[in-house]
This record gives sequence, C-alpha cells and structure tokens, in this order.
Amino acid sequence: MSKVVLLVEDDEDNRDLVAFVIARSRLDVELLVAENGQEALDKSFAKPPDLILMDMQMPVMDGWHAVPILKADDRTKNVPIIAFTAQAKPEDKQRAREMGCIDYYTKPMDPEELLALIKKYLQP
Amino acid sequence: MSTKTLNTVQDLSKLNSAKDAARQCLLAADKFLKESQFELAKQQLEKARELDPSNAYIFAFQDRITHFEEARKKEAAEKAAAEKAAAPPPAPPKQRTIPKPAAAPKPPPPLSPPPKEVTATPTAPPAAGRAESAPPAESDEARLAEERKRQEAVRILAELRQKDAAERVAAEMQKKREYDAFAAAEDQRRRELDTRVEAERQRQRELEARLEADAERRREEDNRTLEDRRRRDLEARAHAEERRRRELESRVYEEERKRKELEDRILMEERRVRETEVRAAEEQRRREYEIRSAAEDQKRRELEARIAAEEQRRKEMEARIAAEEQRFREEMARKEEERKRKELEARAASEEQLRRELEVRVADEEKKRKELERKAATEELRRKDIESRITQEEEKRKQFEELAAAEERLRKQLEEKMRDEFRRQHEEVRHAEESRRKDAEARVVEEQRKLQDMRRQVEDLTRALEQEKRARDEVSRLNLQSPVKQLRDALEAAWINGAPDDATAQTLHEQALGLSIPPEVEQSVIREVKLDTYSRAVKEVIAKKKLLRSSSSTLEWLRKVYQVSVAEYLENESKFLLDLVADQYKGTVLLVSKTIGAKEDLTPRLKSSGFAVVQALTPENALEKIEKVNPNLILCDCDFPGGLSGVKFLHVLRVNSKFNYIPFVLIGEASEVAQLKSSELKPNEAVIKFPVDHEEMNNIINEKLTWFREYISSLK
Repeated sequence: MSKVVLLVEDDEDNRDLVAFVIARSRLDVELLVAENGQEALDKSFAKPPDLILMDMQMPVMDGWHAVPILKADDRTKNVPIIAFTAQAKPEDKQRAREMGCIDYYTKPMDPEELLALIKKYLQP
Repeated sequence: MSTKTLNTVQDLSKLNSAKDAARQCLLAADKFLKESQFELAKQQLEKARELDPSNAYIFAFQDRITHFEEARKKEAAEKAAAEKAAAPPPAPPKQRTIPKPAAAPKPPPPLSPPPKEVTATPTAPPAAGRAESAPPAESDEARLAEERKRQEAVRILAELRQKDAAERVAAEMQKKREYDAFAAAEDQRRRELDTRVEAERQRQRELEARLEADAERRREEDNRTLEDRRRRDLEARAHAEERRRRELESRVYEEERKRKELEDRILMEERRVRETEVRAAEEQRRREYEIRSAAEDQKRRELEARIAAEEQRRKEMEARIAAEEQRFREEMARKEEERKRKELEARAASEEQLRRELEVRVADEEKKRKELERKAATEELRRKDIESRITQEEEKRKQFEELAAAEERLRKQLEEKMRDEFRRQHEEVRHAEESRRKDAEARVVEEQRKLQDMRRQVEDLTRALEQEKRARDEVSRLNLQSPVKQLRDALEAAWINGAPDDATAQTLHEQALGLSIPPEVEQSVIREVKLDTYSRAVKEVIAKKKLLRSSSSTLEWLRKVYQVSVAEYLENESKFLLDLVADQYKGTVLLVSKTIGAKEDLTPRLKSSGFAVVQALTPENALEKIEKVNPNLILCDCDFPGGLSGVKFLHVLRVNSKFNYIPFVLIGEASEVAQLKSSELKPNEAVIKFPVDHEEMNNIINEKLTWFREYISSLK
C-alpha cells in the first residue's frame, strides 16, 4: 500500500518540482497537494497522510498557524511534519521544532537531499 | 526561661540570681532531708525547680528524698512487724520478727545517714522479740489484753503492710512511669538518632549510589566512545568496502558493457555481412537503376536544354517583337506628329493669308468708310447713297463671311477626309502588324505548349522516379516501422520517470522479442528513448533552476535516475548543454561578413544577446553552411569584392524555396541601403545601414524573429 505525502506549498513551480522529484524517486508514494494551511487541515483531517511537507510562509493560513492545530488534533498529532521553508534562521528552526515539526528543510531544493529526508520519515 | 532569648545583660544577671536562689533552696532541702523533714525538703526542692528547672541536682535530691522516705517507711513497717511478732499466741507465719507495738507510734529516727539506720533497725526487733518472748507466764487477763493488743498490732501491721505495699506499688508505678517516660524519651532520642543515622546512611548510600552511577556513566561513556570509535572504524571500513565493491561493480559493469559492445559488434558484423550480400544484389539493381536513371537524366537534360533553347528563342522572339512594336509605335507617333505639324502649318498659313486679305479688305473698307464718312460729313446729302453702299458692302462682307464659312467647312471636310485616310492607312498597318503579332503569338503559344509538354514529361519522369524510390524505401521501412513504433511507445511510457525496474525491463525485452525486433534495433531504440526522456527531464528541471540548490548536482541525480552513462552524456553533451541554456537561447545567427562583423564586434554582441553565431566569410561559404546550420536569421554584409554581393546573395535566397522565408538582415552603406529600401522588401527582410546602430539592429532582429516564429506557427 502506497504511502501518502501531503505537500503544502503555495508556489506552483515548487509544487511541480517536488512532484517531478518524487515521480522519479521510485518511492511508492501518493502525493497530495494543498495550496495553504487551511486546505492542508481539511485534507489532513479527512484522511491523515503519512508525512506532511509544510511550507511555513503561505497566504490564507501559514505553516506557523497550521502546525499547532495539526499537532493538537488526535487524528493528526502523530503525523510527522517537515517544515519546508526558505528561511534559514536558527531561531526559526528551533521554533519549528518546538511546534512539533520533526525536521526542517531549507529551500532551494536538492532532489537527493529531499528524497533522503522523505525516505527517513516514511520508514515503516 | 530557657526558650527566652538572652539578649541583654539584665537577662543574664537575672538568670544567675535565679540559679543562686535555686542552689540555696537545694541546700535548705538537704538540711531538711538530714532532719527527716521530707515535706519541707520537697517544698524547697519545688522552689528550686521553679527557680532553675535545668539544675541537675534537683533530680538527685528528689531521688534521695524518695529513697529516704521509702527507707523510713520500710523501717516503720519492720518495726510494726516486730511489735506484732512480739505478741504471745500463734507465731507469725513469717520468720521476720514483729516489732513492739509501743515502738510503732515512735517517730522514725533521722535518716541521716539512712543506710546505717536501715541496717541497724533489723537487729533491734529480734532483741526486742527475744526480750518479749522471754518474760514468764502472766495472768489470763493480761494474756487476753496482750492477745488483743497483738491482734490489734497485727491488724495495724497488715494495714501498714497493705498501705506500704500500695505505696510501693504506686512508687514502683511512678518509677516505672518515669522510667517509661525516660525510656520513651530515650527511645525517642534514640529513634531520632536512629533516624538521623539512617538519614546519614541513606545520604551516604545515595552518595555511594551517585558515585557508582557516575562511575557507571563514565564507564558507559568510555564504552560508548569506544563503541563509537569501533563503529566509525567499522563504518569507514564498510564505506571502503562499499567503495571497493562499487568500483568492482563498475568495473564488472564496464567489462559487461565492453563484452556487450563486443557482442553487439560481432552481431553487427554478422548483420553487416548479411546486409553486404543483400546490398550487393541491391547495388546491382541500383546500378541498373542508376544507368536507367542516368539515361533518363540524360534525356531529361536534353529535353531541358531544348526547353531552355526554345525558351531562349522565345524570349529573343518576344524581345524582337517588343522592339519591333516599339519601333513601329515610335515611327507612327513620329509620322503622326509630322503630319499634324504640317497640317497645322498649312492651316496657319491659309489662316494667315485669309487674315491678311481680310485685313487688307478691312483696311480698304475702313479707308472707304473714312472717305464716305468724310464725304458724309461733307456730303450729308449723299448719305443714303453711301448707306446703301455700306449696306451693299455689308452684304458683301456677309457674303465674304459665308465664303469664309464655306471655306472652313471645306477645310474641315478636307481634314475629315485626311483623317479618314490616315485612319484607314493606320488600320491597314495595324491589321498587318496585328496579323504578324498574332502569328508570332501563335508561334510563342505553340512553343510554350511544347515547352509545357516537355516540362510535364520531365515532371512525370521525376515523379515516377521519386515514387519508385519512395516505394522502395517504404518497403524496407514497413518491415520494421510498425513493431518498432509499438516498442518505442512502450519504452517511452516506461522511461518517462527514469529507468524502469528490472521486471519492467524484462517485460519490455519480451515484448521486443514478441515483435521480432532484432536485439541491436531494440538496444538502439532503448538508447534513443533513454536519451530523449533524459533530455526532456533535463529541460523540464532546468526551467526551474532558480528553485534548485545546485543545477549540476540535480543533473547528476537525473543522470543516475535515467542511467545515462558518462560516455553517453559526453557523446550528447552539446545537445544537453543547449537544453541547459534553453531559457537564454534565442536562436542561431548565420553571420556572413568578412570585415564588418569584426569591426563591429558583432559575434560577441550577438552571443551575449543569447544567439549562437556561425560565421561565413563569403556568401558562397554561407550557401555551403546554411543547410547544415539551419539558421534562425542571416545577418549579411553588402560588400564582397570579387564574388556574390550581399544583394545578389539575397536574390539567390529569394528564388530558393528552402531558404526564402529565413529572416535576412543586410548591412550596407547608406546609399545601398537607400536603394534597397526603395525596392520592395519582403516581410522577412530588413536593411541596416553601416556603421551599425546596435540598438536598432537588436530591435530589427527581434522583430524579424517574431515574424519568423509567427510564420512557423502559421505553418503548423
């Protein structure tokens, strides 16, 4: 049974790039896409994914607001979330970890690094 | 007092005075004790306790008082017992002597020193007893009285004993209680001490445990460090092993690849041998066909030569006809002009003549009129005659006018007649020319018809040759095309996201075998599909290179995903590199220039604008390169001494349908540019004057490329 990865990202090019990389990874992964935090909450509560890649800067609802809600809900509190952002400040990393993000990935992307991270947290 | 904090000197002196008073009380108590005044001694003791409760002597005095009181009581009891024992009937059950009853009311002796008193007391009653039992027999009354006294003493003694026993029990109980309290206090103290000791022990145990834990932790830390070091060593070894394994694998893979290549080559050689045989037969057929084609070509060339000669003749004929017509038209115009001039001159002369005659007549008439007027003035009477003469003269003038009108009519009739004559003559000439022209046209039409026929024959022959060639190609192509297309479609679907897994690759191989595709063709198609899909992926990912941390590592990753070997990559590097710069690449410019390009630094400027530049030094050189380069734009100099000029090069390209749509920008001197601008330029053509305004050049190039793209889109 394939694993479900939810990508929460407002930028279409970034979404396409992640989809491009995952499609070529040979991972048995189904990629769901949400364009903002609100959409991510709706999709996660409807069907909790196995991993969430969460951009922290988004319109409507950003990752800083969405992650605590996901972590407070019984359905999604155990879903690992990787913060996925262009900010490389150490305090942001710390903040993301305190919120419950299991890891932190700084854009721009490197396909091999990204896949290694996804594989790490999709291990059964 | 003890709980009170001694903060001042007054408090200290008060405490000392209290202690002194307590000491005085204790001395007084000692004195009363020695006098056996126990109550007073107790009172002094109580006072001393009130004054200084911490004085340890108080307890000692209390013990002493208790002890002396008990000794006193014991002594009194012994005395009473001795008195009882001294009574005559029945002997007491105990061996102890009963003191005399008379001794009982005696006050106890002083208790200082009590032990002596106590030890001395038992010796007295036996002596008394012996003295009591010694007396001789008395009378009955006295015996009875004695008996009663004895019984009374026994009773008193028993009471005293009971009382003594009760007091002793109470004292024992008190002692016991005090002892219990003391013991309890001691126990409490002991328990507290035990607790403290236990706490200390506990603390010590904890410290020991902590030390033990620290030691354990240190040992674990050491172990861990050791373990880490061992693990790192193992990992390093594993890495080295892995690296060695990979190297071996790559070597094995390389060897395998070489072996496959050798096998492929052998297969190719075998296939080539087979094909050579086939080709020999094919070659024989081709030679025959070529001989036939050569003969046909010869015929075709002859026909074309004849057509060209006919065409040449026709053109000469047309030129001659045109010259003849021109000459005839000029001659006619000249004649007409001459004739009109002569007519006008003749008409002018006759008019002049008439005018002169009229003028002469008018002058005569005027003279006559003047003479008549003069005569009328002189000869008024002859006026009517003169008037009649004037009327006659008038009539004559009218007649003359009529004559002039008639003459005019005659002249017009003459002119009409001359015009008719000329028209007739012209018509005749025209008819003659027309008939000649018609004959010439008929001949031209005939020639053209023949030419068309010849062309048609040539075209039919060419078409037949092409059809034959196509049919031959089609036969060879159809043998493989359909299965290969099927395989290619399947491979493209499998390779779209990278190299397929082993199971899919095996399935595809089986499919290829099922389609009877030779292995070398299969390998070739796989390689083609692999490079094609890799190239597309590279293009797609490079379009998003701003989102990537490193383009080179991403391309390396893609190379692994598509299993493109380094050799394959290097073989197709130019294509991939072109894809890499695809977002900046605007097209290829063929720069045809010997001097201007260098003078104006056109190549670096064009390259920096995103063009790939191919240079040709002359138009002839450009014609050789144009098909290979397939340029998006041609930028050409005007002046090429000793060869085709830029303008002629443009004309050559215009008549060639393969190249006449490629944007062409000519760079020339101002005069040449003006001349060219005046002529009609096609939408794909433009002219720039020298020296070059680079901004203008860029604008024109962009404009022409836009047109080119639109044109290509419209074709699609």
